[in-house]
This record gives sequence, C-alpha cells and structure tokens, in this order.
Amino acid sequence: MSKKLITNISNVGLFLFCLLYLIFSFKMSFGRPGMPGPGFVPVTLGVLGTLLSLGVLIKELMSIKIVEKLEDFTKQGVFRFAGYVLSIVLFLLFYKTIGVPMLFILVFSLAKTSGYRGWVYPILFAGIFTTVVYFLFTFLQVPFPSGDF
Amino acid sequence: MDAITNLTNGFASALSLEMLLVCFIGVLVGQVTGVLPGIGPTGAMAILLPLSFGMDPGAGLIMLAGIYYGSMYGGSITSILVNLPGEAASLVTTLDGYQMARKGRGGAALSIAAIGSWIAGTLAIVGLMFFAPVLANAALAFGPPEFFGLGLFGLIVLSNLTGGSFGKSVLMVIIGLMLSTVGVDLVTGDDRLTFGVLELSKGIDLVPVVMGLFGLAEIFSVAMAPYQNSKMIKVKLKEMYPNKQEAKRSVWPIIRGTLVGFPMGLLPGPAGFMSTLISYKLEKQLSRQPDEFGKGAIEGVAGPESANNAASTSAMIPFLALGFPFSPPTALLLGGLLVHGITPGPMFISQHGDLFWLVVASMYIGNVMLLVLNLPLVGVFASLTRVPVKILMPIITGIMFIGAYSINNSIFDLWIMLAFGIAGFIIKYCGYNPAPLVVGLVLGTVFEEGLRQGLMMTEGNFLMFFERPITATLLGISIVIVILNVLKIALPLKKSSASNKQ
Repeated sequence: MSKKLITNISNVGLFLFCLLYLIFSFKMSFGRPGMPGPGFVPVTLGVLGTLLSLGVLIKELMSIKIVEKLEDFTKQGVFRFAGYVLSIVLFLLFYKTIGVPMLFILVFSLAKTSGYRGWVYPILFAGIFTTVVYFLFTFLQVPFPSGDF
Repeated sequence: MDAITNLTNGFASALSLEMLLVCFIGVLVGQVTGVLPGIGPTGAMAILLPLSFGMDPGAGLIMLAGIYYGSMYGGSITSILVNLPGEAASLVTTLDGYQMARKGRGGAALSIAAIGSWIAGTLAIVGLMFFAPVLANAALAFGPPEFFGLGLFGLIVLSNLTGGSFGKSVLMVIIGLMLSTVGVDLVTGDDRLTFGVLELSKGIDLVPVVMGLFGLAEIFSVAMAPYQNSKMIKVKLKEMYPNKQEAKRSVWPIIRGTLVGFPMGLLPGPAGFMSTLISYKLEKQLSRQPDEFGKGAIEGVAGPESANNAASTSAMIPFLALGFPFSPPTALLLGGLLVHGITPGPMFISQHGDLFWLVVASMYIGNVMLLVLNLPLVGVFASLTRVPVKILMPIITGIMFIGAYSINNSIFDLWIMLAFGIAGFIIKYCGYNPAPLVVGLVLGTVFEEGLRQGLMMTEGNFLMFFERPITATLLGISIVIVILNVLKIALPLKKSSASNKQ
C-alpha cells in the first residue's frame, strides 16, 4: 500500500462524508434569505464541502508524485496500532458493565501491546496505575462507573 | 488606575494556598508535556480537563492556562539538549540551541530560553491586562453581522496560516462547521442530523473531539512509528548561566521576539510556531554575524523562544475579550469555562472581572514559577524523554479515557473520541491539519447565529452586511485572501498546461 493510495482513499472518504451531509441537509427546511430555516447553513456548507472535497480529490488524483511506500510503518507498528484500537474497543464495550477493573484490563493490554514482556511487570504496572487513578479521581470527586457487579 | 487595583485584588486571590497549588500543578504539567514529544499542550489540557471540573472555575482556568503557557517553556529543553522539539513552537530552537549544546553552551541556551520566555510572557501579560478590556468594550457594540464577519475572518485567516494546502485547510474548517450543526437547532428547536440518537441532540461535544484528534491520534502515531531512544547532552548546574557577551547579545532579540510574538498571538492560526519562524528570520537579517545562524547563535534561541511565549499569552486576548478561541488550546479553555457555566465574550470581563484578574495575576505568578523550575531542574525534565513509550502510552491512554468519561458520564463520548482519534491519525497522515476543524466546530454556533440573525435583520439582503464598517472590513479581507489563494492555485495550473502544450 502506498501513501498516495491511502491519501486517495481518505479523500474519497471525505468527499462521501460531505455528499452524505448534503443529502441529509436537504431534508431540513431551507427557509428563505430573510428568514433562514434550520437547513440554511447546513445546505450551504454541504454544497461548499462537496465541491471543495471533490476539487481536492481531483487535484490529488491528477498530481504526479513519486509514490512513497509506507516505510515508517513497520509490521510491528501496524500490529501495535491494531492492538491499541482493539484494546480500546474492548474497554468501551465493557467499561459501563464491569467498571473500574476494566481500566486495569485496558492498561494491561496496552502495556502488552506496547512491548512489555512477561506477565508480572505489566500486571503490577496496570494494578498500581488503576489504584492511583482510582484514589486520585475519588479524591477529586470525578465519577467512575460503578459497574453492574 | 482601575487596572492596578483590580490586579492587586487578583493577586490577593491568586496568592492563596489553593490557587498557588493549582497554578504550580498546571505549569509543572505544562512543562512536562512540553518536554515529552507526542503530547502537546492541547493533548495535555484535554487529558486534564476533567480534573478541573471538581475545582472552582478560577482554579480550573488557572490550571489549564498554566499547562498552555508552561508547555512553551518545556518545549525548549528537549530542543536544546536532545534536538527533539517537544512541541511545534520549539522546532526553530533546535537549529541553534542544539548546536550550542554540542559546543558546551547548552546551559547558556537553556537559561536564555527560560529568561527570554519569562520576560516575553510577563510583558505579554501586561499587554493582555490593558488590551483585553479595551477590546471587550469595543466588542459590546458588535451585532450579529459583526460576529459573523469576525467568525468568517478568523476561519479564513486560520486556513491561510495553518500551512500546507489552503484547500485542505478550508475543507477542515467546513467539516468542523458541519459538525457544529449537529443537534437541536437553537432558533426552531428542530433536531438536526441526530438520526434519532439521543446523545447527539445536545450536539457533538468539543472535548472528546479534541482529545481524539490531538491526544489519541498522537498516541496512534507514536505506536505506529518505530520506537527510538534519544541521546541527551548533559548540562551541569554551574554551566547554566550565560556569559556577559551571550547575555548582551540576547537583550534585543528577546525584546524583538516579544514584539513579533504579541501581535501574532492575536491572529488565528498556529501563532506560536509562526512567530518563531518570523522572529528567527528577523534575527538572522539583523545580525552582524548571519553565518553563525544554524551553528549556534544565541540570538536564534533568544528571539524565537521569547516570541512563542508572547504569542501563547496574547492568544488569550481574543479568547477572553471576544469569546473567540482561535487555536485548539484556547478552544479547550473555552470548553473548561463552559462546563462551569461561564461564557467568555465581550461581557466576560465586566461580569466575571474577579475571574479575569485572578487569571492574569496567576499568569504572572506562573511565569515566575516556571523560571524557578527551569533553571535548576532542567536535567530532571530533560531525562523525561527517556521514559519508555511502553510505560508512557498506556498511562496517557488510560487517563484520557476515564477523564473523557467523567465529563458527561457517557460511553458515547468515548466512542466519539475513538472515532476522531482514528480519523485524526489518518487525516494527519494524509496532509490535513485538524486544528481548523476544531476551531470550525467551536466557532460554528457563533458563525451560524451571526449569519442567520444578520440575514433576518437585513431582511435577506446580504449586501447590507457591507454597509457596516467592521463587518465590511472583515469580510473584505476574507474575500481578498480567498481570491489570492484561488489565483495561487489556478495560475500554476495554467502555466503547467501551457508548458504541456509546448
């Protein structure tokens, strides 16, 4: 995968986002210039955004640049990124149900993903971090989810 | 005289133990985040924003502002000792600061950076003290068309100054404005683009968006890149002071840096970074030894470091006096105040004068704290760059998520943060800057209200906006900037098609 391909995919994504925004904006009342409705600004922004994102997309498609390979992204890096996202998704799915212990699981899995070897140190690290944060946030009266258990 | 009396009252409150403590925490965290590459002032403020909710508004604002200007001090340490800018505004300092350190003058570079930052920061606070109330008074006469004009002007200038492609920056602004339209319409009460999701009725919250774009996206970037161990040049305490010649050569660059940075902070955009570039160029032009620049000229450290501190302080003027945050860190300060039910704007100084003067006084104190922290503890701060990523990133991610949750007790906010984290990582990689998106999201409401109310006032005649001098000036400048940028894009295309024909 080259940088140019990723850039083009992102530009298509931004164009589709603007187009969808425009389509949904048309469902709102536009009003008239003397009495603009709730759709007045969204439709205007939608038109501008769609045109501009299309322009950026075409301009980048036409530009002849040397295709850069993703040299700065090693296999390990991609693995770490995927690991981070998965750990966070897992945390979000169960944080409300399980509560604070989920923070321990998040930090533990992130530590492992980040390259911590063995089991003892990541468990200790996650345990100490969770305890410190729990007491700090309780002291500062910042709420935690209590969990269902 | 009023200003002096108000400032004295501000000092009386700011010198209480609680305020001194939050100020110290703020500047210390700012200093640390300035040192750590990857987490800039915006990310740090976003992470610590929830901690300010349990405090009173003054303490919360003091802490967040401390992080903002504190990070400007911290950034210089790694630039000079490790050749690694902790944040963008310290990039220029690496050019001469690191070379000085290699020649054994790192201590002098660090102390000049700290002293210059302190002088510039303090002078800029004096400017803030006198300019902000004047600007706020002037803004009391603003109507919806003026606010619309100011919003549009800010967004266009921001797109122009952000760097990179103007088209991409404007697209980010538009997407930010689009996101600001989600939620209940303030005029009609209709739901807009909520798709039946209850959490979207109140709109897209600024904090998870900023935490995603500037915090999480940065964490993903660090995770993706190969880990590197930085080598640091050591400095002894006795080498911390500049010699007579270095001190003499730094005086004018510090003053000029302040004069460059202060007006830059008033403009939308990456004021800190831009001011360092201008200051560096200016010092090089005025120097009797321009060849020394890039090889360890003290002026190349003194000027830019003073400029970025003056800019970060003066950036508070449009925010406090007009309620217009023109940069992501000031947008977060706005977010922090809104949570406490306080809206910055023209009425802010008259309605919450005590808070304004408390913050001003705390900034004087915070700058002194930073100077004291910087000189003897520089080695401690610099060694933070050696904290392994595998420890740092899980800690920051953990704090970010529980912090973001505690704002509204909402898992939905965390999903928003994750979505913007992934989006921010990708768009940054593809050459887009997320800062205009954030400013667009913040200014969206003011922009839309100004436009709609202005059109109602003028019965749909947009040309009448140009009959109001302030609006006409702001819109005129905005139009000229857009035309110039369109010409800049169109002319090379024309040239290249002509050369293709040949």
